[in-house]
Amino acid sequence: MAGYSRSIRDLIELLTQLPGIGPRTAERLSLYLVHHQPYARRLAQAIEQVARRVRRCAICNNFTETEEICEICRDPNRDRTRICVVEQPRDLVVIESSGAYRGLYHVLGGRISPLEGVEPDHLSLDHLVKRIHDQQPEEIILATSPTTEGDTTASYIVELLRDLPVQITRLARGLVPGSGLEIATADMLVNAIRDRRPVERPGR
Amino acid sequence: MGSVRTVALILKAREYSETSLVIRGFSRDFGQFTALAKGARRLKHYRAGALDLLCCSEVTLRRRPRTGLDLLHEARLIREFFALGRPFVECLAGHVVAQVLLGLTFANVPEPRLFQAAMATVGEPTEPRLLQFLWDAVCALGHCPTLDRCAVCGIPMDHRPQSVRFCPVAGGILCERCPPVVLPGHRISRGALRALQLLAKGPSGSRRKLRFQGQIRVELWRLTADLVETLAARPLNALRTYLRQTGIGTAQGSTRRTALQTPPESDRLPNRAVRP
Repeated sequence: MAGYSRSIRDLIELLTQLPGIGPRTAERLSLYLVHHQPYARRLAQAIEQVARRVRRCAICNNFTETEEICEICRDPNRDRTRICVVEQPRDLVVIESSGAYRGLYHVLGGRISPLEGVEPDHLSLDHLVKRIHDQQPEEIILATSPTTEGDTTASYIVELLRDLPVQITRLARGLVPGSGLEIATADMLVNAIRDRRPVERPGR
Repeated sequence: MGSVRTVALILKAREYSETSLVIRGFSRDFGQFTALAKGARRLKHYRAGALDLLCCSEVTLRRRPRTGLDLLHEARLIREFFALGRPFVECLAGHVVAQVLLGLTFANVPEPRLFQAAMATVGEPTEPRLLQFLWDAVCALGHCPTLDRCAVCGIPMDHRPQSVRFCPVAGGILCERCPPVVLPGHRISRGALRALQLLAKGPSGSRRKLRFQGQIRVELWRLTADLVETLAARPLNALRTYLRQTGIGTAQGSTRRTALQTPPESDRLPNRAVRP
């Protein structure tokens, strides 16, 4: 990056540290910001505000701004008998946007990944146990990702909560609605058969 | 180069760009490989389930030896690793298998026996089977330590001592007269040595039933973990987590800390390199 001034070089270096941004993209973004200074100022302000104001909710570990407790935990209309355990705040956003769930959440802050050195101690699991003791919900919904690492995390949580008087469920997995059986993969069918449920019969 | 089809165990999947994955696997026919699976993260992609960690899949690769990054065209799930519903330590055992294969095997070096052992262990990741797998891996890759004679001077150790010193770096047990114990080691009991000899004997029907308990189990695991980490030349997080969760490793520490702790005074011998 020789030839650029020091501040542009610093900006390129900082942008390179963002996920998915390589040196060339960082260079392109930096030059865009140099050429669009009003936008660059607004972006700088937004970044500064996020860094200053956003923190973790004291109850669910989700992101919150200004208040110590997030909007979802403060909402009195939420179903407080259910806590949905997710890995990251973005998973919470996805479930919220579906509109299918009106309970509370608990954000773990990651998933157990021994290969990457992420152990149970690195997640907010003690906090979850304490919360269950305090709030005594009826159901914990495990919404970890349907991968080996997500299932390993769920498996650990099941063992952790084994002695607590709370029902533990997990999100179903299987066939995609609107698709035919002939295009389903073997693992989709395995999951679908394993997670089959009784059909409600009207009038009985 | 044309496409090749093989059966592989998926050891690691790393996100690459918005839709792709970089997969590291251990194949039956050409050992470890790294492959780019374009579009594997797309919602409706047929490969998605087959490229999850610890799944056994039939993969079709376009080999690119020059770059070292193959292209993964197709993947068909043969056997899934069901983590949910298993005890947590069994899930961890699967991760240990993956990390050991990543750390000890090489690209383009087929290890069919080790592949079979890995498949069997992932299928039933119990503690005895994992211990057997670690010794299978050590022996299959040509690192089996010397357990019947001194690894340094070669004197047979058939007088059945109460305990012996085992040094992973020296490559086996050491007699009391051999001086080069500047390297860290373990003092293991006669029972643990006998157990090691059984584990290292090579594939046999009876070995599959070996179960160790009490102090011998702890000695075996600590020594095995130290040996495998020494061979991998780096700490293995999954193995350390496994030992902590099974109560074998120390609560705060690691196997490495245990293994590298200062040997007892009786084991320490003159170290010319550091003597003033």
